Amino acid sequence: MNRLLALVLVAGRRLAGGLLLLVGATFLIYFTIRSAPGDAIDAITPMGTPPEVKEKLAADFGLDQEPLAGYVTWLGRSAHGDFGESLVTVTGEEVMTAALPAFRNTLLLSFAALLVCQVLATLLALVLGEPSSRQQVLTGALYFFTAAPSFVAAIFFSQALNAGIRHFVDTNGYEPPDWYPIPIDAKSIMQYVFAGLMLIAGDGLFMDMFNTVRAEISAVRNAQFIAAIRAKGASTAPHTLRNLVVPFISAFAARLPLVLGSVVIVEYFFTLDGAGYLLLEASKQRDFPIVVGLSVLFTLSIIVMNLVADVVRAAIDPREVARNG
Amino acid sequence: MGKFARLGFWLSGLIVLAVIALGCIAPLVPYEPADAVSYDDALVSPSLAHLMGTDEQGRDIAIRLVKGTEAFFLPGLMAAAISIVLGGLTGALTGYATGFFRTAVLGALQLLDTLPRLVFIILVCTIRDPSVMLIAFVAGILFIPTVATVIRRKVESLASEDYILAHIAHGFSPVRVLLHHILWLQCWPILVRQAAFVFGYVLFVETGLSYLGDYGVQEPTPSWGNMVAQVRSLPSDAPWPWLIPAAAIVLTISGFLAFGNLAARRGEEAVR
Amino acid sequence: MSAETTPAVLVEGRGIVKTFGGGGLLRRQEPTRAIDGVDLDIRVGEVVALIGESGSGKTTLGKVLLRLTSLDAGTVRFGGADVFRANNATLRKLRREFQMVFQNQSANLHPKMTVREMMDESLRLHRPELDAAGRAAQGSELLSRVGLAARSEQRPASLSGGERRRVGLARILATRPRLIVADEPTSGLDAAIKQQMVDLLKVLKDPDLAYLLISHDLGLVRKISERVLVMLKGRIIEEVPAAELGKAAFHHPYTHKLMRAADLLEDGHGHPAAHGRAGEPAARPYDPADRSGVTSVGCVHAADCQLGARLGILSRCSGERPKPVALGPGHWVACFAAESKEAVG
Repeated sequence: MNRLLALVLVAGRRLAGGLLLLVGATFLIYFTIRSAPGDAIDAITPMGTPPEVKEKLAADFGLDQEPLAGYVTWLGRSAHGDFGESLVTVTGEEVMTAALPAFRNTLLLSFAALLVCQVLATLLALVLGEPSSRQQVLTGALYFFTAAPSFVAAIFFSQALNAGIRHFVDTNGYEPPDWYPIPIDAKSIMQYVFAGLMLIAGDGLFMDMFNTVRAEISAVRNAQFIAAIRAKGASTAPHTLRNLVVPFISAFAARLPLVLGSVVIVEYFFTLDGAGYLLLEASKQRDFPIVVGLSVLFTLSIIVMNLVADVVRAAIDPREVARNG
Repeated sequence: MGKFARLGFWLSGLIVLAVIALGCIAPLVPYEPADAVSYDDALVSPSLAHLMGTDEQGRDIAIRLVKGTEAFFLPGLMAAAISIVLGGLTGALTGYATGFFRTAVLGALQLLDTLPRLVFIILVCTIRDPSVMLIAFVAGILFIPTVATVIRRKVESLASEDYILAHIAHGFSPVRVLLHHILWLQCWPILVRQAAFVFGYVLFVETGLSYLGDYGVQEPTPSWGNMVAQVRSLPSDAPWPWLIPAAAIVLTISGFLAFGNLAARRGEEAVR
Repeated sequence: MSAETTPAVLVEGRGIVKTFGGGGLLRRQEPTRAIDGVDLDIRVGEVVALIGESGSGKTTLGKVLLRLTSLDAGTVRFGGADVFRANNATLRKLRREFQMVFQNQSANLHPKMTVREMMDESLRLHRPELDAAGRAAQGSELLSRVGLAARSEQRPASLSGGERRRVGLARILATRPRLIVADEPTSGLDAAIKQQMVDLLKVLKDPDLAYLLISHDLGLVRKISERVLVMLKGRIIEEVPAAELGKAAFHHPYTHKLMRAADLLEDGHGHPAAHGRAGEPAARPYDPADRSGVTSVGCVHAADCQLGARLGILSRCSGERPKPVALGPGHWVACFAAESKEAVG
């Protein structure tokens, strides 16, 4: 009971901290908008936006007010989920109506990729065991190639795949063009799978995860209390697993921001219906209500992830409660 | 440090040196993108006349590769400098200071750290005139928390070993202890690693955005990213115009990351 | 040291209080009184030992004397100058005169510098009048004084624990200090090296140089110090000439316990049985750093004191702060039992 109360307290404190961070982050985002050179509204809207649209936009974003008052206006509207209306990308639609489904896809893709990455990294760590000089050729090569940007990895991948298709599949006389990143039916899930693979294979994510996971496994395995349990003849597996949960969750949460960056470029590469694609499209066309709405969503998801990780950590590891309670 | 790691250190060091050399000589190479176009020489495969062949417009790829370093070299250096100077100082201060000042700076760093980097860079590019320098500036700022955190941990461990106190007790001024004894003598491996990482990140963002178009470097100015983008229109029997810059991107990013890590490891081993 | 030639006071600490912790936004914590009202004098050229277990606040006291940590109350004067009110210029001058040997053997050694380079760095800082050649000569002279002349091109990684400590000592000597605070100068060294260190400290001692040895090693303390201060839970509870350790008619019950643990009690020297016998179970698990139940009001030892229990004075012990009771030349004890004829015998 006491434990539960302490946990609730920790969660409450974290929630308060998360809200504070959200306010701070939106503040930074808002003032980035305000920092636009010249007349802000001209700088952030597409050429030829009608004046009445500009006026509405200025009112929506509080640009016609003092910066601080404008921020409060904007934050108040945003807190109700009202981020204004899209200017060009999906003209006239509410920002969140367009952004939320896309963002859901992006989150699913990122989480799935990150999860698979962690599982693969753990498997590799278990297979390789403690670092040894003989593995260095393998890990060194993996380091080298997984550090490549995900879009470069995706180009290599799709070129190889396309060449394979050309070579092995009878195209019935139809001559496919030389470049097409994975010619698959738009409704197919395969391009999401490919995008996920590229997220894992690129931007140094995999080996970064591998290193952390291996260090954590080896730290727990070599801990004195594990040796003591082994000496008693009891099974060490439950204790090892229990003590790995917290570092694994931390490792997962810590890499979400990186993946949420990579996913933008990868989604654009595979033209997926996701927030990253929407973000870049909207940004190109200066559809800035969409860009701002998505920026807030991305930031929010990082804050929520950290919050959840903290609370789960506290629920599993009593020391966290003691340390922060 | 094993034999393999030492080999990796020298190889990656060679890559870093080569990139730095290219970055330094690139501005001296006279190059007018419009004059280089020569459709008669389009897609010539690598030969003595064109060491790396030519692209669809008949431009020499070797020269564009060298000129392409201009797109990220100075921005990368700037971003690395911003993040390690400001990150190093705030990290050292928060590692040693206590009270309200520490809490406030830590809060600000945490705030900066919650912003999704690439998304924020795109936001800034939507609002201001996009340029690689702007991108690098924002990236440098966004990496301050990362650098500050590792430096803070190091300084905290030094403080717990009385390293800092011992120097102040011996009579060194706190500023000298901070700049010379902590950041320079003890933290340089960490700073090298972080600088290489931030440089690699700028190269990643620059080539990525140049590949996608719009925010990076625009044709006809060469960038490794927009050179790779030619993959979209190239026939499959002439891969070199995109393959060579793609390989250069992979080599450079991996080389910088590897060099940062291995140099730092060597430094830390020497320090122990 | 005979009474008529008492030298001038070098360091004078009065009413020193230092607390840690407290505060906390949501949970109020009771601050820990690491040093709880300590007065202390160190005279020119004397060797004073400060003993006590870890957690008793002795290292903190050493740091306070050198202004290496803040102070909550009290004053520290060094050669007449108020250390905590000194401006930067004065403090820089003072820093030259008081130096500290840290417990961590490599605390002030740079991993990347050779021993010679480190000596040069110190001399450049503290002896600006020397030129490069002068610094080199002075550096090698100091190194040979600590017996490291042959190791001047080494880096810390290739030095042993004892050698590292000697490098630290040589750097300290470069400032020509008047006071060296040595925090556990022999901890972590094996017996032979320990003896070398003790001998070295004796050799380096000159008439103008005072030592404050912070240690829990009673054997070491008895060998080189003149005066011993016993510290417990933030207070100095006894001052005794080193020669009297284990011989005096009465020691503070806590000092007695320390000496018994170190096997320093002279044969047949027993305090009145009231001190409690060896092997007698303690009133509660004993933890020197545990400040619970310690108030600034009573005696810090009251909760653990068997002597007090036997004499039936515990209510006084925990309700009133004991004042020093003089027992002989240079010997006082802050204990109510010392006032009782029965205990002192």
